[in-house]
Amino acid sequence: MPDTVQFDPVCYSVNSTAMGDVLAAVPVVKYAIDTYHRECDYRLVASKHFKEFFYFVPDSKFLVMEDDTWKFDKVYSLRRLNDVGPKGNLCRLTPAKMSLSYYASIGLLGEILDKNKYNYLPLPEVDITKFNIDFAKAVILVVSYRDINRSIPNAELLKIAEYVKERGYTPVYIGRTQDGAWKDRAPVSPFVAPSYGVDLRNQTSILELASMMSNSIAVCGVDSGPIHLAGTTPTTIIAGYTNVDWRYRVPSRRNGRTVVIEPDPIDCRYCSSRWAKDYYDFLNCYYGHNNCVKTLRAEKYINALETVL
Amino acid sequence: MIISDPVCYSMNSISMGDVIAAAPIIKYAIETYHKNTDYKVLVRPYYWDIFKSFIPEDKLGDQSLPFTFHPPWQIRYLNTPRSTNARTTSMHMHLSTFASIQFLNRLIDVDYMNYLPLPKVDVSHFNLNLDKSVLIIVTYRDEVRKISFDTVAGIAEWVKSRGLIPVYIGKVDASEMWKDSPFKLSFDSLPEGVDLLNKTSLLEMASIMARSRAVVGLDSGPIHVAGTTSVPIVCGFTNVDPKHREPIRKKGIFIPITPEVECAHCQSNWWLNYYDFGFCYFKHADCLKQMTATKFISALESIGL
Repeated sequence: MPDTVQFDPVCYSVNSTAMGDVLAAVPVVKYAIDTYHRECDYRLVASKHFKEFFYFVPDSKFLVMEDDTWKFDKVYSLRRLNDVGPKGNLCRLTPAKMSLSYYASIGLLGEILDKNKYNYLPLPEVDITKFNIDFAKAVILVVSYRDINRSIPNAELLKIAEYVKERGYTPVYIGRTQDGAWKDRAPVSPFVAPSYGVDLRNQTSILELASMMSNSIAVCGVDSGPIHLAGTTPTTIIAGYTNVDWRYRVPSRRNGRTVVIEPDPIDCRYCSSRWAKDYYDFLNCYYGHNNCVKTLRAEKYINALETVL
Repeated sequence: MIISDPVCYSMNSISMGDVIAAAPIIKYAIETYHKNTDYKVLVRPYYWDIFKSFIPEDKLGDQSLPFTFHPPWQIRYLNTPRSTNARTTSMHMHLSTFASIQFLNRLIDVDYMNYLPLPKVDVSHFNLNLDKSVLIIVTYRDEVRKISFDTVAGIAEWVKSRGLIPVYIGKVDASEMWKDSPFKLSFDSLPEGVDLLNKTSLLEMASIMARSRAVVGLDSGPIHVAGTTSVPIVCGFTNVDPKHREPIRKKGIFIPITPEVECAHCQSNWWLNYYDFGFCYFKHADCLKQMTATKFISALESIGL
C-alpha cells in the first residue's frame, strides 16, 4: 500500500449485548486494527462488561456502549456489528443464518476474511486459586440460559452432574443471571444444585470463568455466551444446538475439540438458520413445543463425556 | 420443511455484472424458500431476459417504478439504501457473495452461485464467422477501466495475424438508465474488424460469445455476460481484485490481467469507504497504463489461439 494513502478513521461499534456475538467479533476487530489502523485512527465501542475481551485496545480508544455521552468526530466512519437503520419490512442482516464470525466481518469490515483470521482470541489468565477447586478434575456445566429453546431441562442436567460425580470428577455449575450486559432479557437459572459439586453461579468474573474453563477437563452446555467463552480456551466443549445450526455457532479456534450435541432429526430443528422468517422471534419455539430441547437428552452429553473423561 | 416469508427482491443496481451475479442467488431463493410462499423480483426491464427462464412474468416487476409492499411481505435490496453508516458493499467481496448476503442473509455454497446460462437466440443475421471471432470489449463506464486505442488495436492486429477476426462489442449509451454513469468509447474510430457496437441485444451478445473463440476486455458488464457461457475470457483488472469479480462458472478458461503497481486493486484492498474508485486516487491511472496489448496477447497465446 502506498504510504501516501490515508485510510478512513473508523469507529467500530460492537453494539451487541450477547457475549457470543462479541467474542466472535474480537478477532475481527483485532484484524482491522492490525491491517487498517497502523497509522490511521480508530475507536471501538462495546459494552463495559466486555471491555476485557479487547485487551489489545488502548483505553483512550475504547468507548463504553452504555455511556450515552460518548461522541466521536464525524471524520470517523461508523461501522456497526448490528446495523440499525430503516425499520418496517426492510430485511436486515442478522447472524441467524451465518457464522457469528462472518457476520462480524461483514458488519464491521464489509468483507469475508480467511477462516484462520476468525479464531477466538485467548483471554488473559487470572488467579483462580481463591475458589479452592481442583480444576484438573472439574467438568463445567452451564446451567443458566436466556432462551427456553436453548436450555437443558433440569432433570437432564442432574443426570449429567450425577454421571460426572460417579466418574470421580467434580461438576462445577456456572452461569450468570445478574449484572450482565443484557438489557431486556436476562438469563435465568432455575437449576437446583445437588449436594455434590460446586455452585459458582454469579460468583465469577468473565476472566475468572475463562481461566477456570481453561484449566478444566470439559465445558458442557447449550449454545450460549459461556460456550463461546470456552471457545477462547483449548478445553473440550460439549455443546448442544437447537434452533441455530451448529455450523454457524461452533467457536472458531486453533486448538480444542468441540463435540456437537444435535437434537433428534425432527423436521424443524435449526429453524432460525434454515427458515426465511426474518421477523419471527426465534427466542420462542414457533410451534410452542420445544421438541428440539426435549431431545437434547442427558445420554447424549454423557456419551460425549465418556470420550473425554 | 422450510417456512418462509413472502419476499420482494429488489435488484436496485443498473450494473450488468451485479445483476448477472445475483441471478443464481435469486433462483436459489425461489427454489428453496418460495415453493409455498409468494415472491416478487424487481429488476430493470433491460435485464428481464436474464430471469425469464425461471421467473414467471407476473412475478417480475420494474425496479425503477415506485412500489409498496405491506407486511407480511419483506423487502430485500441488493444495495442497501444509503444512510450515514458505512454500508455493506461489493467493494471488498465477490459480487455473488454480496448478492447472497444481501438477498438471503446467508452465504450459500459456491455451487449455487454459478452464473446461469442465458437462452440461446438466433444470431445468424450478423453474418459472423463465429468460429474465427475474437470479441473485444471496447466501451467502458469508469475512467479507470477505459481500454485504450493502442491496446485494442494491438490485440486486433494480433488476432488478424492468426487468421482470426476481431469483433468489437459494447455500447455507447447515455440514455435514462445510464445517465449517471454512461457507457463510453474513448476513441473516434475502431481498428479494422467487425463493428457490433450498439448492435446486439443482451441475449444476442451472449449467444455470440458462446460460440466465439474468446472474449477480451477490461472488467465490465460484457465480461459477466461472457461468464454465462464457457467461452475463454481474458480480462484486465485495474482497481478491483479479480478474485472479487471472476465470473463463477462450471467450466471455461479465465485469465486475469493484473497490473504490477503498488496501488493495484485499490478498491478491494484499501479501507476507504466513501471514495469513488471509478477515478484514480492518485490521478495517474498507472494500473490502466499497464493494460497493454502485449499482456492480452500473451494470454490469448497461452490458450492456443
